[in-house]
Amino acid sequence: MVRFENVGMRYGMGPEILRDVSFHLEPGSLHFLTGPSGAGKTSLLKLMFLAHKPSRGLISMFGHDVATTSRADLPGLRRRIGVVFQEFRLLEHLTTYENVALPLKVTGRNEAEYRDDVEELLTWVGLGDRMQARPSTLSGGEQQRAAIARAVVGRPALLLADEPTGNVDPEMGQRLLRLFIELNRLGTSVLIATHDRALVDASRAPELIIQNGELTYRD
Amino acid sequence: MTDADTSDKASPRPASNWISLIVGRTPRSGIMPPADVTGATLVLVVAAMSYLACLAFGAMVTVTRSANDWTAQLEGSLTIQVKPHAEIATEDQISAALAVLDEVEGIERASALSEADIRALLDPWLGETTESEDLPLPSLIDVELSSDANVDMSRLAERLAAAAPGIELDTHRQWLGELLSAARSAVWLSIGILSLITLTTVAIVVFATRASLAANHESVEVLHLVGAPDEFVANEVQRHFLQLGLRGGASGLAAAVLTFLAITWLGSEGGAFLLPVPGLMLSDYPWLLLVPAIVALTTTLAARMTVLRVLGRMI
Repeated sequence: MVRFENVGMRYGMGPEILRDVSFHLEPGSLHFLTGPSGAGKTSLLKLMFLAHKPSRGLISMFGHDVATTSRADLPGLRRRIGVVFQEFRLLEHLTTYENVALPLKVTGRNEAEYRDDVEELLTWVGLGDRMQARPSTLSGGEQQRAAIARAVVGRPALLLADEPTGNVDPEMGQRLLRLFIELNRLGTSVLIATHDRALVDASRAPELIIQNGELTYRD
Repeated sequence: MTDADTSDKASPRPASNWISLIVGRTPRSGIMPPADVTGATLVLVVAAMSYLACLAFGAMVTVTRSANDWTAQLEGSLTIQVKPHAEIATEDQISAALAVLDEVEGIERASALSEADIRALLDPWLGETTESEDLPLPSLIDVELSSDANVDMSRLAERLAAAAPGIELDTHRQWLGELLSAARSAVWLSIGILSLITLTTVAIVVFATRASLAANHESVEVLHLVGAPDEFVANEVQRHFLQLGLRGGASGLAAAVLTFLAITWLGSEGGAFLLPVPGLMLSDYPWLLLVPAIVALTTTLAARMTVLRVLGRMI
């Protein structure tokens, strides 16, 4: 599903942030991505959700070589990836419902087709009574759940979560982990970037460890 | 289900229509922020551009129609000037001229103007002249040509000059030529102004679109990352700018219509302008609707092309 081979990445003319990164994620797998701050976790995720191009190496997403995929085909690949951003990135001028429905709206589908699904999902993540609220009026945990709902609403094949428990208490962190595990059981491949050792230890899933831009694998 | 549950349900998408575009009510389903720092300024600038474009367009229509009217009026007529001469009485000069004209084929009517008619012609330029009986005035013969007349003007001028001294043929051609040349210059000037306004509007919209994209960078990037095709983002942005363009265009049109109505009213009152200003006719006003339509279209296309170019630089 996701294959990185000797991938290197740098910002502009700066130093290489990622060096010779190679790994492979199977369909339906659950992995953690760990490492100290500044090690390159977010940069690696940026490559995976196609927000950045590698400076060298091969990245294959869903069987497509990213370097040779035409620009017109990239939105289709992105729609197969759900992303929970570290800083949520909910759009302030839209309601919680509109934010969560965004990945479906951009496909050009009629709202009547997906409205029930979005409302059901929001209820499932505990935001059924906050659908018309603006993100600024939501608590950190509510924003986190809205961001997760937006990431999974399109039933992505791959879910990438950047520090998804960074803004919630340990109890909510465990609840969110159960949500990711449930999604994984339903067939979604999940990669969670986190500092939270308790979260990693609780799931006992394989770990991709990134340190000084280099990646190692721990089962 | 509680009342709160019901009230929190997502409301159905309101139908967007052209009225909502003009009055500025953004459909709730719009993904781009409904207004930003560039919005109000851009509406004002587009309104000013539309106003100037309407004035230039109106001036072009007025000048073209006036030139056509003058041409139609003057091409079918001649004037023969009979200057007082010491050797011959004015009445004899007029009789000799009329005799010549009577023999020329293609002349529908020829009649000498009375002294009162001549003074009436001079009144707008010299003021009341009825009291100045001492002022020597040439006599005039007004000649009307038939529509299919093919009169040799040089030959006619020679015959009139030979018939009696002091008779001159005025075909109005020199005056008409200068007038039409001035009218053509005015039309080209209007076209030049319209072109300049269009280019300026495009430049302003490109700048405003870039500013808007910079201000809404977060929205654009999130749309991009959730898999929105460039076309989708461009459609969202261009809808926003179409709305601004229509609002600005309609405001400019309204101000221009008021200006033209004021010009027409002042022109009809007389004395407000040195030359008679006909203003726009009722049938001309619908053409002015083209201006806000073109301005809105230009605004929309410029915004769309700018967005696509900016998005094209993203991976």
